[in-house]
Formats: sequence, structure tokens, C-alpha cells
Amino acid sequence: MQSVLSGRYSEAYATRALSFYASFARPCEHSKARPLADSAGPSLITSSETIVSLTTDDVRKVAHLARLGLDDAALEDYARELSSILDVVDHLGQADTTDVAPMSHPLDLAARLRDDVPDATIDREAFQSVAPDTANGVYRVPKVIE
Amino acid sequence: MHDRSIAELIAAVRSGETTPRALTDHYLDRIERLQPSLNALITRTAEAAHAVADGLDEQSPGALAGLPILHKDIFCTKGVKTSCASRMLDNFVAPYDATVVERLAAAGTVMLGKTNMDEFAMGSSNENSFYGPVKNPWNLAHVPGGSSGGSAAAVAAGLAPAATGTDTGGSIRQPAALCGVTGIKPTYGRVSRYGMIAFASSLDQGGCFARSAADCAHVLSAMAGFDPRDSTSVERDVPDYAAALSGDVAGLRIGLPREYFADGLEADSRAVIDAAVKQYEALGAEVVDIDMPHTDLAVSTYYVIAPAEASSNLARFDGVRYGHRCDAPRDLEDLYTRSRGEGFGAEVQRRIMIGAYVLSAGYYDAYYIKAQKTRRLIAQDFQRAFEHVDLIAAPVTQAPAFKLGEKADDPVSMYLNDVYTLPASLAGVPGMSVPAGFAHGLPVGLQLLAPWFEEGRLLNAGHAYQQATDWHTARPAGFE
Repeated sequence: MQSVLSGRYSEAYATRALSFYASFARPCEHSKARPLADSAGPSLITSSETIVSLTTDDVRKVAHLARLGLDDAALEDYARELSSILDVVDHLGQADTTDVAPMSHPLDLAARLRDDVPDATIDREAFQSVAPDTANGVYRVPKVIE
Repeated sequence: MHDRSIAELIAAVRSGETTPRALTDHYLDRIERLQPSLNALITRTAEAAHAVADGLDEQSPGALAGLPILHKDIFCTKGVKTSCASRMLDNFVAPYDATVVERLAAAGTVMLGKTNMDEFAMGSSNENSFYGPVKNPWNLAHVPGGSSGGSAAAVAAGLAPAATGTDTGGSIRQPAALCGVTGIKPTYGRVSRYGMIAFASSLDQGGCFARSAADCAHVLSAMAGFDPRDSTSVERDVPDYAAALSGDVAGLRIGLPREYFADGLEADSRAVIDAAVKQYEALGAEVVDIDMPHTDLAVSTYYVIAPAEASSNLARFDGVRYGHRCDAPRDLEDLYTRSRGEGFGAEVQRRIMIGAYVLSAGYYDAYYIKAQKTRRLIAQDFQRAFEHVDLIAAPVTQAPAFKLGEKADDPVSMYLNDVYTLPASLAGVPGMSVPAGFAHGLPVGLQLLAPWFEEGRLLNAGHAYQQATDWHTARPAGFE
């Protein structure tokens, strides 16, 4: 049921995204051939003919990857919203990027090197004063090893 | 006093006509009276401001000695709460100053407080703040823009002569336009990111707001420059921008990108931009049409790259070293997930998840690498354009400030709104918004974009326009 719901919702977005892109001097046709990323790998995308459609299970998986604890009640909203965002992003598929090198940074910078000499040291007490729980100079967390 | 330019304020301190303390009290009094209707500030630092102001006099050497200033709450301020407008950092008191804060303090500015913003600088309306939305001083039912909405609204309302901001996809230019003030985003790498809480590290850039381009020139000269503590800071001399202002644009070639004037641009806003362009022609500039054919890829490119970098940057908020920690965590996983689930607001969570999604196995090439390639296409549009023109002029937004709540439940329509500011961010070129008139009773900004490291050209073009027009001197009713 969820995919039907989010499908209908996302379709409105897909239509709007289409008219948004059509407003440009060089309109691009919105991709109908989903998914953009149907390559190998664990599929997070549920099948859909026209648009990206994440299920609540997909959201749960992504939230886990990001270590975000979400209320179950919020999952449906997130599924709709993330699907609609991915619909917009999907427009990238229209661009011809043959022979275009990825650009990771706006400036062609080389990593700067410096001599390996001691610099100012970190004031541990000052930095740990903003930590939720410390003892004897270490950060305390729940027991990791049983 | 608050209608004077920064040059006049500094001169008044130097001549002994006023004192840093009197100036500080004047603006603190305005904050006291006017802040409640705007919610532009998260923290006031009146006591510290008094201490700093009392230590300054007409002999103080700093270029901006005695000038009151507000800092966006994304800049770390030693001993002062630095929240990034997030519940996650509601209890965070920075243990050090950002380079921007340090430099402006060394120049003799007096910090009056920290301004409200969209949480972690993610948003275009300032509605995503843990401390509530900022109101637009031109109409309190409308948004001030974002993410640096508090800084823009504060300068528009005369709560300070200048304020700092950051721009990742338009977060200085867009609120400057919607609040009718001047705002400049320098070239990526021009202003140090040290102590500026990271959102998207290949895009984040600090800048400032003031009432005119000349005022911005004074502030930017003091805050820009190489910083060894920021690995992407550029080793390049910073000119004295204020001294270099000639107000002459005769012979300047200004390009109008056709793609920025397409159907999406609202008619009344377009009329304002057209009139501003005519003004430049009257001043002797040559205006030509140009093509930036990959403009339509900017929104989708940005909303892959920025969330990807954000999901990585915001991984540091783990409830261990600083920031919010959930009550009674069962184990480490529970500590992470609940602290982050409770500490981040909805828009931040959405972007973290989009980022985690596009970076995850099987999607990395199709989304992230693809977006890095389209980013290059967008940057090449600028390279080609600047082979033919000295400057680009365009709108900042498709329409003036929208109503509070109007787009709050619709993240995508908010994203599509950023279409005119995102390309310059992706390319890393400097950009500015100058007040150019009104539509529907709300301010409209003209966007000027220059080649990499040509902030001086931008400021001079803004200055020339402001010598010939008076839009930048308008004050919203109730904030005179």
C-alpha cells in the first residue's frame, strides 16, 4: 500500500519537476526510464515505472546507515519527501557527461604541506568541558564489550 | 546614527564625535526594542560587548575600531553559545573563536550577539530553526530568506551596521535580496572556514551583510585572507576593497544569462531587474545576452553534492564529545541513534538521509559521481561566459519573500526556489545581491556574479549602482 501512496504523491512532484525544467530556455525531458541507479548492489529502490519511490522500509535502512533514530510515525512522511527529492535529482540522468571528469572541488588546489613541527597543543580540559560525560580525561560511553 | 555608513561610523569614533561604548549602546537599545518582533537573534552578548567597547577609543588601531557587529550562530565564539540553531548544539559553548570572529575582533569590531539561522544552514526561509522562525522586517508575515535570515533581517532593521553570514547554495545572497540589504559571498577559499560549523565543505563560504556595497567592502577586507588552519584557504593577497572603489563601470561588459530570465521569473521582479540593468547601461556599461546552458542541472546537482557532504560532516555529532546526548542510552548504537534522532530537526534529517542514500553502495556512481560531472559542466558555463563578459547580472530569486509557512511542508518547492543562486556556489565564483527595488511591497535583489577572486569588481559594480540609486537606503516601516 505504501508504494501506491508514495507513488501517487511523487507523481505530482514529477509533474512539477517537469514543468520546472521546461521553464528553462533549453528544456530537458524528465527521465521516464527509472531507476537511474538500477546497477548492481543492494537495491533500496522499490520498483516503479515512472518515479523514484522509497518505502518506509527503505527509509528505515537509510536512517540506520546514518544512525538516525526515527519515530515510526515519521517514516511515511519521510518516504514521501525523500522520494520527491530524488525525483528532482533524477534530472541528472538527462545530462550527457561523456568524457567529463568529476569535479570534487571548485578550485584546483594542491594539498598544502608544512614542516612537521610541534604547534599549539589542544587544551583537553577546555575541549572536554563541553562533553556530556567525561572522567579522568576520557569520554565515557555505554559499555561496548560484554 | 544607524543610518550612517560604516565609513562614517568609523570616522565618528576616530574624531571623538562618538565613542565605541555609545555606539554599542545605541545598537543594543535597538536590539532590545526591535528584536522581539523579528526573532533575528539567538544570543545577545551585551555584557561582553560593553567590556570590549570600553577597551576601545579613538586611538584604537583596528580598521573597524568601535564598529558593532553580529555573527551568524554558525561561527564559533569562545565562551559564547554557538548553536547553529540546532537542538543538537543548544548546550554548546565554543572553546575557541572562528578565524572570521578572531579577525573581525582584531579589527576592533564589537560583537553584539549571534544571529538566528536555518538549522545547520539548511534552508531558504529561516523556518528550520530550533529557536523559531525569523520574521522579515518589511512584512512580519513573510520569511526573511535563509539560511542567514537572522543576519539579513537584523541589518535591514538597523540592529547592527553589519553581520556575518555563510553561503553554501545562496544563504547570503537570497536573504540579502528578500530583506533589501547588500550581501556578498566571496570566492570559495577567500574567507577561512576554520571555526565555521561545516555543512558542505566544498561549497561553504563565509561572507557578510551590510547596507551598501561600500560597507561590505570594509567588512570583507577585514575578514578575508589566507588561514593556515583551513586546508582549502587560498594563499592570495586581499586588496583593500574599500579603497579601490571607484564607482566607475563605464566600458564594463555585463552578461545576462538567458536561462535566468526564463518563465519561472515572476513578472514584477523581472521588471525590477530589467530597470537595474538599464541603470547600468546608463552608467556606461555594455550589456549583452549570454548562454549558460547547464543552469537547469544546478538544483539536481546541488541536492546530491550538498547532502552527501552534509551526511559526512554531520556524522561528528554523536552524543559523545559535544552536543545533545539522549537520556540513559542502553548501548553505543542507542546512544548514537537516539541522540541524533532527538538532536536534529526534520530538514537536517532529510538531507542526512539523502546524503547517506546517494553515497550508499550501488548508488555512488549513478548519483554522486554523476553530480560531480554535471558540477563541472556548470563551472564550465561560467568559465566560458567570463571569456566574453566581465560580470554577470541576474535575479537572485524568482519572486520576493513568500509567507511564513507557505512552503514549510513542501521541501521540494523550497529547493526549486534556489535555482538562481546554486550555479555560482557550485562553480565557486563570488556573488552579491544588491537592493534593486520592490515588487508587491517587498524588496527585490539584483544578483551580480564575477570571475573567481574578483570580489573587488563586484563591490565596485554594486557601489556604482548605489551611487546612482537609493534603493539600499530604504528602511522598513517601524524600523526607521
